[in-house]
Amino acid sequence: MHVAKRSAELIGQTDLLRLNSLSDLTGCDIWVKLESQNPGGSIKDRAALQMIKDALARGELKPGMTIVEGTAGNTGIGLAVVARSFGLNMLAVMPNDQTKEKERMITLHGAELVTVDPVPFKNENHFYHTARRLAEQNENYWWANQFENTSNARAHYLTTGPEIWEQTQGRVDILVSVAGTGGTIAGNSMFLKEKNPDVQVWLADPDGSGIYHYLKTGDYVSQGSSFTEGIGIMRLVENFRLAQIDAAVNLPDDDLVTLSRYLVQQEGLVLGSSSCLNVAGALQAAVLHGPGKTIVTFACDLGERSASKLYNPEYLAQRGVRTEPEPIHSLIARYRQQGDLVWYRNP
Amino acid sequence: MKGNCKGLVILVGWLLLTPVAVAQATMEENPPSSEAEIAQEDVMIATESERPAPIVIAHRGASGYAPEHSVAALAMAHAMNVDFIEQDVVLTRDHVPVVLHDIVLDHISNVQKVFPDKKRPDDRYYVLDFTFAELQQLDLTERRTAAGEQRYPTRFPAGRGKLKIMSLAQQIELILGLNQTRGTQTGLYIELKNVRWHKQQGYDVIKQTLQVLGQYGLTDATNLPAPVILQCFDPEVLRRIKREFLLELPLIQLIADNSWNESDIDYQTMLSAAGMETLRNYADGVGLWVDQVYLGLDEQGQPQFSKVVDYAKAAGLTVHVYTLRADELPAGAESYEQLWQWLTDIGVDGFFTDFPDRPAPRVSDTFDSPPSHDHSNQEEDQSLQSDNDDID
Repeated sequence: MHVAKRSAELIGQTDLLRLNSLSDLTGCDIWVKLESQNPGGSIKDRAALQMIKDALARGELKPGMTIVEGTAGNTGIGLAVVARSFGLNMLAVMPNDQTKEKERMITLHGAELVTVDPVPFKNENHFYHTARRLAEQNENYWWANQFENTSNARAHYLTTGPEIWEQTQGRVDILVSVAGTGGTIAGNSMFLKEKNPDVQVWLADPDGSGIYHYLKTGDYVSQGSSFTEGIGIMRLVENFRLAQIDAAVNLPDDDLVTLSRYLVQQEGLVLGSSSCLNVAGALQAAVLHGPGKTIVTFACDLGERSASKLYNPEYLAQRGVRTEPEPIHSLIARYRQQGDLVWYRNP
Repeated sequence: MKGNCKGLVILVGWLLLTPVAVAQATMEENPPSSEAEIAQEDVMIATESERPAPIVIAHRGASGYAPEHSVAALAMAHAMNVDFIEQDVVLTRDHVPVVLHDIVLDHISNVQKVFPDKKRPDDRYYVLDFTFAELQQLDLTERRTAAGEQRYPTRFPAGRGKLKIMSLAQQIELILGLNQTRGTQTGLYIELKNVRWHKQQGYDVIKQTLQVLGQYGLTDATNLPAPVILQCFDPEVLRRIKREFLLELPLIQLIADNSWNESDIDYQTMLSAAGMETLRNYADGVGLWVDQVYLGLDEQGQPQFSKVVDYAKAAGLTVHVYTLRADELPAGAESYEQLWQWLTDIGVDGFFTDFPDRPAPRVSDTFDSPPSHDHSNQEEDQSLQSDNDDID
């Protein structure tokens, strides 16, 4: 147990939990790293802390200044938590279609919140551009820029990767992660492959994201859409560029409903939508590469942040997503059959 | 067993040929006034008539001579004129029922050499993780202990023979074929293994097994090409076969020792008189562990027996006992034949044996007895794959 003098010191050192039910069904050890244990409730706390520490060290950021960031929510919460610890202010710019749970967390942490309409990236009013503009217009503002600022990936290279290596005693065979900025998958893949080049790194990509297609063809093309938040992207960014990815799979929101309900029932674990996508990716890898593999993925944030979408039948019905879970054995049988949908770097 | 006369006759003729079963069948046509009456009458008839010799069930084939469940063990058993040859059934990754005793391959094959990476985190190789085609790359070997030593040191030498894992369908075809060429009615005595565990993994042992049996006409009790008995440790499985699949094949409830963790069932309760009465609702007989029946010698050197066979008989159940082994006798038994005779004398109707060429001799016969081994030498990891050698 840690004793800390400020909440930022409590970031990281998260626990690893074995998903017994899915492990037993696949003959693998499937672990989730509980990033929800971070003080801000998500894996983004790590990136937030590293970006601020590095910027302070470089002298770009000084106490009393305001951090500006465009965010789907969790990075804003993480930055708000860390900003307070370092005597900084926080201004978050969010698209207004994200769960209200996250907006509330940002304001509860004393950060200022600006919401904008969700628009395509090329539109100047996109939250990303809005944050950049705000920072450019005020010299007391510092733009964190989690997409291009590689302190994000560095956080995982320095902390998450080593923790996984230590917690699995070097036995990790497959790492599965979703990607938004790509910081998590980049930093972890860099570290783990340095330790063992045979570690396989899998990307789980939701509908509506272009990463899977990019890896396959070199172009960012997407189909459909997803209720997941802050993951999937339609452009190549610096953090993602650092990622060493061996395999990728595109999985639909329907499967996230199935797995979320299954894990609540079997493990008493309420996962958020990106975490469910991670677990779906881990299950796909386990089914195709098991038995006997040690597979690690992330519970990116607290499941309650997905309450109004993933766990809300009306919302699901309105989106045309299944509201009742598919039987787990039927899902697994499907995953066994869809091996040809997985992209491999070296086929 | 109910109304259908033809079916009854065939069943009774083939298997439940004890007077008890006949009495039971007769009474079903003219129901007696009370359960107690049935029991009383059964006991009376059973003791008064001359009972036929116990049937011989080749335990995993003639497994005392060739690796268990191999084609060699099957063919030898057939040539030894046994009444039944036992098949344990588990499923492969592609849902094929194969004849193997354990849900793991560790103790009876060279899987560690052929597929070193296909083990689960518990370091075991599960049949369920292999397709039938992959299993064909393995060789069956004589059973080893968890420590890697041959379980029965004097049996078939390890690493010889190139014997392959067989599907249930292959064993059925072989038995039916040999029945035809040899003019016998050798039966199949099929155990559905670890059904709940399979179910948790999304695999249905009952459905797959009955589907294969159906393909060979072995599910229609009124018109069977060969006798079939189904056995299971899990009562729920037998109930399902009877009530959901509506099969009228004879069903044997196997009774484990609670320490083996076969299932959540309290087998100790099953062994009581009341427990046996309850079993009668769905089972035609019980498969008892020899240690549940024979308790060893008393101070005067006389063999002691539990009451369980009496209870089973009183409930109208056929009693089969597992497993007789000439190379591993229970304490106090001087010879395989002596043990056979003792158990026959107290009313046992059939034996699972690794040595099916050694049926009961006449009482006066005496043979050189094989060296007696300490019976406490049991195998590990019973909970996972019912690996106890005494479990059949």
